[in-house]
Amino acid sequence: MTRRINLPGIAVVVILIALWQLVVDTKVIDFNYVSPPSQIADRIVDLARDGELSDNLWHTVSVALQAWVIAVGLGVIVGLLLAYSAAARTFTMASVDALRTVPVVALVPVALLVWGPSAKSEIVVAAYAALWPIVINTMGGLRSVNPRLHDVARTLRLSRVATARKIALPAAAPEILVGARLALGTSLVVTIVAEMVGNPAGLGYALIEQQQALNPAAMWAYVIVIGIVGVALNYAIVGIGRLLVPGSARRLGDAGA
Amino acid sequence: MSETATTRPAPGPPEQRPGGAVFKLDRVHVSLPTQAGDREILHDISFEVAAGEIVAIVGRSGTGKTTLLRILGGLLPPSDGSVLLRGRPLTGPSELVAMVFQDYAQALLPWRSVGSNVALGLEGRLAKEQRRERVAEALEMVGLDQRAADHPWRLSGGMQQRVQIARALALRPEVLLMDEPFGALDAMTKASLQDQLLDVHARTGATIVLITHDLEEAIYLADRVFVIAGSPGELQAPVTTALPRPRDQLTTRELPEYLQLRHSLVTALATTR
Repeated sequence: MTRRINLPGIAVVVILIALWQLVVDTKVIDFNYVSPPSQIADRIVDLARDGELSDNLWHTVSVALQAWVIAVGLGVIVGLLLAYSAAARTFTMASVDALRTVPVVALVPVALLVWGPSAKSEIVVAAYAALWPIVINTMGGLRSVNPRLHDVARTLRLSRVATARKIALPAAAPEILVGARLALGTSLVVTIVAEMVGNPAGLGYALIEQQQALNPAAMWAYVIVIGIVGVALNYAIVGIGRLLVPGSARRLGDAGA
Repeated sequence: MSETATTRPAPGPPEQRPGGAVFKLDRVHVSLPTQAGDREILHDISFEVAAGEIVAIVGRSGTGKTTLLRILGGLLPPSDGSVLLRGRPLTGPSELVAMVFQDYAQALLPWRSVGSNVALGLEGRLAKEQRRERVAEALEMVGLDQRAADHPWRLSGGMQQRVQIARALALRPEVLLMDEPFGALDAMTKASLQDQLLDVHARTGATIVLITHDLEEAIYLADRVFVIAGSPGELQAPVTTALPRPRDQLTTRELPEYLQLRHSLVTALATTR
């Protein structure tokens, strides 16, 4: 689908950045650690030039994506199981509800203790956190498939596997996609938190490092980069979703705008 | 339309089909669980459907018409009594039977093209080449051979219902079960689809059981019309239409016999609840 560029929306962002620059330059806001956008931009260019930025960026993005892929694969399977097996629901829904409401940040120190300060720790916690939105949305999407489609599958005598693959999963695809989008955001956040408190690598650690070294401009540079990564990943998944599930654009709403 | 029908090559012509009873229902009862305990939906239903016959079942809403069709389709087991299909007890959806639902928009897969919707029941059962032939043949029968690549939502309601009929025909079923197939369509579309159905019937010799709340449609299409009435629903003695075929929207509906049937069935329905 073609999307017109949202000029008024971009204008607001530009005006806000200009305003930020103005209030810092004119000392209306005079904190030592609020750097003006011009300095932050310079610092982003410096960090990019010496390669530090791209190393950290690559580490964080690859960890977040690996965790997300694991979560999507596992989440769809668990969602299918919970949607179609009453026994699985009876025995596990209480655990699922309990586990998914545990604040995942509390598990970061646990993972660090078990797997040490490594990318593996980050992936495990991020995948764990990203799993739940996929499980819940897959299950919900499958269970709300119009019963008429199940009648159709039965009268055409499709096998259970064929029914899931050809009817139920495509019908639930928009909901699964919403879950996948939420999961990607969660995966990125948890990855960065894990880097801040545990594994000394990636954007999260770099941000803390610059903060503790009292380099506000570099710290802000990482804050901006992390923000851009979040927006870019969201755009990417909404775009992929539009390609894979043409009807999903409406249901995903303005997610990418 | 029906005049040319007999000259075309017919897939599974009537004379190749075994005769005799297709369905035989004996003292079928259906009760479904509700919050207030079991509720009887159908009471003591016994009837037979002969091969190649068109049977219409009419009745007010809430008399269990759809439940009866689901029994015939193997989607719902009866609580009591026996259902035989070609002499064998029906235990689930049969390969001899295809079903067409009223809500075509819900029954078609919006992410599949028209052709691939029609192919759905053939996948994994026929080789690709045969599948393509069957789909083309089915779409040709409902006059949609030019729209195979379109998605259902690009078609009108009447065309979407024809896609669903084509999907059923692609299976080359012996029996076509239709639940108020033209109920959601406007009068003109309805009339042309009725004629198309009669054309399909003449070409394939399929047995058709259809449910409708439109009495005139029932008389126009069917060989026999059953009235189902009451709650739980009970089947009244059938009315044999015996109108000449091929039928015509104008002349058939002007026959004195047609008007007579209409009169007696309207009266019969009016006295039921």
